Amino acid sequence: MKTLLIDDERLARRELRSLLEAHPEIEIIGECADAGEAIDAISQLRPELIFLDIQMPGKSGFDLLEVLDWVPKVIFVTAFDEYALKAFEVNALDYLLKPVDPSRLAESITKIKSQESVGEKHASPAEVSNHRISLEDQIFLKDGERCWFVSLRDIRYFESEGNYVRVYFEGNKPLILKSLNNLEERLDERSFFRISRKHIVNLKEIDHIEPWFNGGLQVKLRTGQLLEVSRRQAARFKDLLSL
Amino acid sequence: MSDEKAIYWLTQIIGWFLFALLILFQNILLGSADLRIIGFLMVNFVVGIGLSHLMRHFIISWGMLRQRPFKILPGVLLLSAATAILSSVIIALISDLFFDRLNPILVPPFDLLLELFLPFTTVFVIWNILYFASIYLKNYEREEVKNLRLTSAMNEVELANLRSQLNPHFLFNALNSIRALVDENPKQAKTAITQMSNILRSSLSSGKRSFVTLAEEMRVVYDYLHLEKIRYEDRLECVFQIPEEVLTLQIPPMLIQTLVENAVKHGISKLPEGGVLSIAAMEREPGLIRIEVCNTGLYNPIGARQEAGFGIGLANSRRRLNLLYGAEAAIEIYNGERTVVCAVTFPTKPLTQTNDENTPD
Repeated sequence: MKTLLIDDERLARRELRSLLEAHPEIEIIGECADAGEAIDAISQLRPELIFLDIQMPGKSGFDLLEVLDWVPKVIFVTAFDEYALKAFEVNALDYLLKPVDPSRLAESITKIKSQESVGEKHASPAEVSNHRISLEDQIFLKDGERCWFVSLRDIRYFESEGNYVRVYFEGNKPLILKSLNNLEERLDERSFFRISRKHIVNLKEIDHIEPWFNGGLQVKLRTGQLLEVSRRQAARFKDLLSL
Repeated sequence: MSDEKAIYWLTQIIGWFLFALLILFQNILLGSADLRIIGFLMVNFVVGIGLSHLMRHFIISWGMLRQRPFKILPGVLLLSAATAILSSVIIALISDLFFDRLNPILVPPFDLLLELFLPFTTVFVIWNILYFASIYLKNYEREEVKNLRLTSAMNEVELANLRSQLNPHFLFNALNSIRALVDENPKQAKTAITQMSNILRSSLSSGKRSFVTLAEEMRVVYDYLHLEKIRYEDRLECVFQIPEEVLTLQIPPMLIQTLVENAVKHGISKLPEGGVLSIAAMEREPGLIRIEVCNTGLYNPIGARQEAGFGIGLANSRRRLNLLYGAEAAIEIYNGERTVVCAVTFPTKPLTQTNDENTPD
């Protein structure tokens, strides 16, 4: 499993590297000393797993995750940030406390591997190669004190809100600092469709489509919510669905 | 307690003696004084003391002292009146029996009774006012002393707590670095373990001591910075300006340490390229110590306030100094030339010595 180590302290990275020697399935493809380096490394090397320190100079581990379009599997490694990790739902993430206990590390790796074998059934190489975010990929969302790792499959739709985009999933709707245009470019068009200037919708969430005024359409989501498809997009939408 | 009893009896004697004198003057003025009045006054004196003491007995045994003044007011008035009636009857009877044999009937004359009743009621009411006032005053003082004791005890506890705070973030990161060093440089790892022990020891014992010498404090700071240097490597550079003559000065333990930890946590650790941390101590004017801890960076009070946990160390230090030195101590934090300066000023002599085994001479 291609793995990246992100920690500002050389000795901490060295320690983690030596602990990971006991796990040959973990292939360390790089080390980063700060969030800036890590952002580049993640987009270029596309690791499957990152070990991430939370407190780093400049950007913190959370700041780093927030700017990523796509987030690999994450194991947090931290000295004493349990309060920061409380932001997550129970079992939503894995973390290790420094100094790392080798048996805890082994547990985390086993857990990650079991998730991977489930995910592999869906992942197709084409999706990875064109660098679009697939349905199986996860993104990191933060809303005030709460944080989530959300698989794209679980997102119903995105809604433009000024300079932000509101993400609707389960009962939550946090904001992310991205434009809807930017997001549209990064999302896989076979899973997500831009129905209007305001919305990008997850096709799997659509219950049915009905005609609307002026040749437009209206989609009804499985949750019962109605969203309008603009006239401009309606033609493309029909094409897409007839395929 | 015996003091209070003595004061009570002395007040009783003086009070009733003055009352007797008042009656004597009144009689002299009216021109009706003869030798028999001496006997009458003595009876007055004894009956006054005796019955007021009896009245006090009832006040205490009925628990009137523990109740609110308004609630017991009618009771006290009634009790005063009853005592006054009893006194009037006794005095009228005695004076009738022994001093005025012209009228040997054992029923006191009604007009004498009336004449005695009103002044005695007034006297007993006044007696009660004075008595209750003294009791309330005493209770108030006792409460005050209790509060003062409580506050000083709380300050002691607070000081002890403030002194012995250990930064868990530092502790676990340092242990993690040491774990890596065991492979890379075992000799340095051993030194680091010794230094970690020193820090833990001083942190544990600092709660018991009010003062240490600056030299002792700096030993902890050196150990601490050495451990942080293992972690930050060339991102942390340290400069010390501590002249020999200040090394023997007494300072609160963990004071410099807290400031240095702050400088690392909020300064150096935030800089990807690292920076310089400098510590300077001086006796700027006789009797006034100034310690400056500087780090590369920019102090932003608004941003700092939003940061979790920021200011707790500084606020604690400020509180400690305030408890030990009063208004003469100060901590300021400001921007120098591309550095953040944290300066502490405090007198060489604290306000009052706290009781402990390490009082400076």
